[in-house]
Amino acid sequence: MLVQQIVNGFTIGSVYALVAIGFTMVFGVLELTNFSNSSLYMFGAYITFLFYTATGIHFFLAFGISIVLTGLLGYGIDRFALRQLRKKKAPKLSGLITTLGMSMVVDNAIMVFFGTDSKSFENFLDFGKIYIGSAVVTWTQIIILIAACILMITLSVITYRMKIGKAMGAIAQNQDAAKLMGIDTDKIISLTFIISGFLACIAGTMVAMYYRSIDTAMGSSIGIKIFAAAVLGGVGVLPGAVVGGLVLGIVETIVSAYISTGYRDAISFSILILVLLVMPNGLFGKKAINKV
Amino acid sequence: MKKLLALLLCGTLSLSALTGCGAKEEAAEMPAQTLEEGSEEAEGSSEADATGEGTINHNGKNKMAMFGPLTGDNLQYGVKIKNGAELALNQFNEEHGTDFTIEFMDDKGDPNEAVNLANKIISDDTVFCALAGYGSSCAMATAPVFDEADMLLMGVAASHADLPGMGDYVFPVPMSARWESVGFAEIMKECFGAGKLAILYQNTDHGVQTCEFIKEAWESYGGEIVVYESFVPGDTKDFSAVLSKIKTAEPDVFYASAAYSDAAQIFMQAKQLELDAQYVGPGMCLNEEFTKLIGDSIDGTYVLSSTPCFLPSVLEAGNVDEATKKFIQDYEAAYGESPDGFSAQGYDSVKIVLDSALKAGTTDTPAVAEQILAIRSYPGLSGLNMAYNENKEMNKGIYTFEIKDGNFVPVNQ
Amino acid sequence: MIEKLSTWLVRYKRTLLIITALLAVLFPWIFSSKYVLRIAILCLMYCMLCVSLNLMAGVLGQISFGHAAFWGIGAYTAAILSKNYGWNGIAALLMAAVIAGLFGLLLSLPVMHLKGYYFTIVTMVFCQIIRVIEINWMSLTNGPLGIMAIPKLSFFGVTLKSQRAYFYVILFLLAAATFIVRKIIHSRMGYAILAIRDDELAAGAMGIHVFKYKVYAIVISSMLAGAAGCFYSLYTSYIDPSCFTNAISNNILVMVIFGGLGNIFGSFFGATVLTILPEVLRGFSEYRQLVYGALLVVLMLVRPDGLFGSVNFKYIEQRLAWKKEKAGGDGHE
Repeated sequence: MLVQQIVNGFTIGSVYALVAIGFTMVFGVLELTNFSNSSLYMFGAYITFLFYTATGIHFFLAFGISIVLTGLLGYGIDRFALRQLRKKKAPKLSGLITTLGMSMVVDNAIMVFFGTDSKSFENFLDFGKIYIGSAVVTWTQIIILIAACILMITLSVITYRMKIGKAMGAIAQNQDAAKLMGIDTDKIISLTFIISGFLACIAGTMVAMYYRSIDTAMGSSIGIKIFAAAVLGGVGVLPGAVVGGLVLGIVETIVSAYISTGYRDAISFSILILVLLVMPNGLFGKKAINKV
Repeated sequence: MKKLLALLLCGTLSLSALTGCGAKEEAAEMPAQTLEEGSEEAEGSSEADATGEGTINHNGKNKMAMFGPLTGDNLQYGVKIKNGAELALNQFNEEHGTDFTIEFMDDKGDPNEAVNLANKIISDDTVFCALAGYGSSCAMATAPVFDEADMLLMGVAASHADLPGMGDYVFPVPMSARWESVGFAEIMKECFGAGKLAILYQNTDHGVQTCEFIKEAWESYGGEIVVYESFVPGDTKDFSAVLSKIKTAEPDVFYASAAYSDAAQIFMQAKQLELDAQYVGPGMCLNEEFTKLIGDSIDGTYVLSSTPCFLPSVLEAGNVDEATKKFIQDYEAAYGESPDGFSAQGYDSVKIVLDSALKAGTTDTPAVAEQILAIRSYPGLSGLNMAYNENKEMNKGIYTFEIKDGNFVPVNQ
Repeated sequence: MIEKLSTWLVRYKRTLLIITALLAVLFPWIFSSKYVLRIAILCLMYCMLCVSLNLMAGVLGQISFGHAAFWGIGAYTAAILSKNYGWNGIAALLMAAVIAGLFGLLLSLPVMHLKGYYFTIVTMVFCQIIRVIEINWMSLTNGPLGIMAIPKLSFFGVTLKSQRAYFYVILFLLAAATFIVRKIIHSRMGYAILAIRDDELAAGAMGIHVFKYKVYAIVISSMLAGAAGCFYSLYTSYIDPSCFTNAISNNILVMVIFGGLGNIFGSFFGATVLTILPEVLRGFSEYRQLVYGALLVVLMLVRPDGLFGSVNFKYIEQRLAWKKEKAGGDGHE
C-alpha cells in the first residue's frame, strides 16, 4: 500500500507543482501574491473545453488556442490593472487586492457563462497503466509529472540563463534601478504574466484531462495549496515550487492514508508551519537581505 | 435473470416494509387518520371548485418567498428548484384563477445570507410562506426566525432529521435523512448481503447524518463497517489516498455519499485503482452530468434514491405516470432543459403549500400547516408514496438503479 | 475629493461626532425593519472586526489573512459555553476573548520571525487548520452541522430578544473596541508598534522590545475578534464552519485595506460600505459577485492606498489649527 500511496502523492504533488511554477514566477519578479493565478488555471481548462466541444476542432489545436487566450488574459490583468498601479507607485497590497478582485471577476464570469455543474473532459493522455508491484500507475500520471519537470527546466533556463531572465531578476531587486539600466520593465513584467498564463492553462487542461472533468471550484480548491507549495519550496525559486508541490502532495497522501482523511489539511498545514519555523525561507529560499 | 428476480423481490419487499411501517404509524395515530379522511373529502370538494373561482381567502397574503443559491457553487441546484417552483405556481394560478406570486432571493447557499433574507421575508406583510431553497444548513439556520414569526417554512431540499423539530410550521419536502438511510441500508443488505461495508462520505450536514444512520443500521444487521472515512468537499478532488486504504480493507460493498461530481470522481478513481467491490452511490448522482462524467467506466454501480430519475433514457424504459410526463413536457417547454429531482422538489413544495391552502381555504399559517401535516400518500412528482408522519417527517419509497452502459436502469420497478 | 472630504471631516469633527453618535443611538428607532436592523448590526460587527484587524495589519503591519479564525474561535467558544454549560453572556464574552487571545499567542510564536508573504501564508493556513478542526471535531463543534439554537444573550436573567437590544450591545462593544485600539495607538505601546512596523531592526536597536510588543498587538487584536465572534454566535444563534472560511478572512482584510490601512475611520467606512454593497447589488442577481469584484478593482485603481489610507488626519488637524491661529493673529493686528 505504501508504494501505491507514494505514487498517489506524486500525482497530487505534480498537479500542485505544475500550477505553483507560474505562481512562483510572478512572485519572484514582482513580489506579488497573485490570487488570480488559480482563476487563470480554471479559465484555461474551460477555454480548452469550450473550443473543443463547441467547434469540434482537433483537441490539441483547441489546447493551443486556449494557451494563447489564457496568456492574453494574464497580459490583460497586468496591462489594465497592475501596470496602472505601478505607475501610481501604489503599495504592494493594493496589487494583491486587485488580483483578488480580478479573480472574482474571472471566476464568476465563468460560473455565469458555463454554469456551476461539472463538465466531463476527455482524456487524450490515456495510454493505459503500468504496475509497480501491486501499485497501479497510469501514463497520465507519469506525463503530468514529466510535464511539470520539463516546464520547470525550461523556465529555469529562461530565468537563470537567458538575458530576459536577468532582466526579471533585476526588476525583482529594484524596479527603478532596472529601468535606469535600460530595461523595459513593463514589457518584461507583461511577459512574465503571459508566461504565467501559459503555464496556468497547461496545468488546468492537463489536470482536467487527468480527472476527466472540470468544475468551477477547481481553482479555489487548490489556490491555498499552490501558495503553500510555493512558500514551502521558497518563493520565487522555480525548482523549489516543484519540490514544494511534490512534498506537499506526498505529505497529504500519507496523512490521509495513515492518520485521517478529514484532518488531512490541518495536519499537512501544521507540518508546513513547523518547516517554516525551522527554515523561515522555505526549503530552497535564499535568506532575505534586510536592507536598513 | 435469477439475480434480477431476486432484486425485484427485495425491492418490493423493502418497499412493502416501508409502506407497512407508514401504515402502522397511521394506525397508531387515530386522529391523524380521521384528519386524512377529512382532507380527502376536502380535496374532492376543492376539485369541484377548481373549475370555478379559487376559494382561497388570503387577505392580501398571497406571496411566497424562496431563498436559494442563485449564484455561487450551488447555483445549478438553486436554479432547478426555482424553475420547478415557478412552474408549479404558474400552473396553479392558471388552473384556479388565483393571484399567488413568488419572489426568489439569492443566498449563495450561505446560511448567514439566508438569515439576512429570512429577516427581510418576515418584514414583508404579504408573504405567507417561505421556501428554503437548497441544503439543510440554510433551512435550519433560518428556522428559528420563521418560528418566531409564525411563518410557514418549507425545506425544499432539507432532509436533515432534526429540521422538523425546529418549529411548529417547519416542513421538509425531501425524505427524512433517517428513513432514507435506513431504506438504503436495507436495500444494500437485501441485494448484496450484510458483509463488509466501506463508507466514504462528504463532511456536510447531509453526508455525516445519513452515513451515521446507515452505519447504525448496517451494524444492527450484523454487517461490518471496515472503513468509515470523511472528506471535505471542495477541498478534495483526488481521492486516491483514501481509496487505496479502502482497497486494502477489501470491502464487499463500497458506499460513497457525495455530490454527483465528487461521486463520479470517487468511483472513477476507485476503478482506476482497481478497487474490487460493489459500488453504491446516493440519489444525488441521478442526473445527466453524472452520466456524462462517468461514461461507461463504472458499469454495475448501484444508485439508490428517494427521488425519481427524470433522465430520458430512464423514462423511456420505465412506465411513467401521466403527471410526470406532463411535468417534464411543461418544464421543457418553459425552460428548454429537462428537469431533475430538485426541480420536482421545488415543484412539489409549492404545490403542497398551495393545495393545502386551497383545502384550508385560507393562507393563515396554522390552518395551512394542519392541512400539510395531514398529507398521506400525496401524488407528488418527487417521490413514491409521499407522506408525513406525526413528527412531520417525510417518508417516501426508494428507487434502485443499476448503471449499465453508462445509463441508469431501474432495478425494482 | 477625498482630501476635501477629510478636511471637512476634521474641521467639523466635534459636530460630526455628536451627530454620528446621536444617529447611531437613534438608528433602531428610525428604522424598524428587521432586515435593515440586521444589516446594521452586521455592519457594526464587521466594523469591530476591522478595527481589531487594523491593529494587527495597519498598525503592526502584519497582513493577516486569517482573521476569521479568531472570530470563529470566539464564536465557537461562546456557543459551546453558553449552550452546553449554561454560561451567561458576559462570562462567555470574556472567555471567548481569552481563548481567542490564547490562539493569537499560539499563532504569534511561529510568525514572530516571519515577514511579509511568509506571515501571509501562515495566517492563511492557520485559518484553514481551524476550519478543518471545526468541521471534524464532531463531539465538540458538532461538525459541519454547526451549532444550532444557541441561547440568546442574557444579562442578569434578562434575555435579549429584540434586534434593537442587539444593536445597542454591538454598538457598545464597537465603541469599547475602538476606544481600546485608539488608546493603544496613542500610547507608548502604540508608538513602539508603529516603530516596529516601519523598521523592525531599527526599532530593536532603539531599545524597543520587538518581541513583546508584537505579541501584545497580535493577542489584543485576536481578543477583540474573539469578542466579536461571541457576539455573533449569540446574536444569530446558529454557527457552522462555513461562516469562518478563508474567503471571509479575505473579505475582512479587503474591508480594512479598502478603508485604508492604519486608519480607524477608514475601517469603519470600509466595513460599512462593503457590507452594504453586496446587499445593494442583489438586483444584479447572478452578476452580483462579478460586479463586486470589478468594483473592487476599479476602486483600487482610483485609490490604491484605500479610501483614507493616504490621508493623515492628524496633519490636517494641525494645519487647520495653524491656519486658525494665523487667521486669529491677523484679526488682532
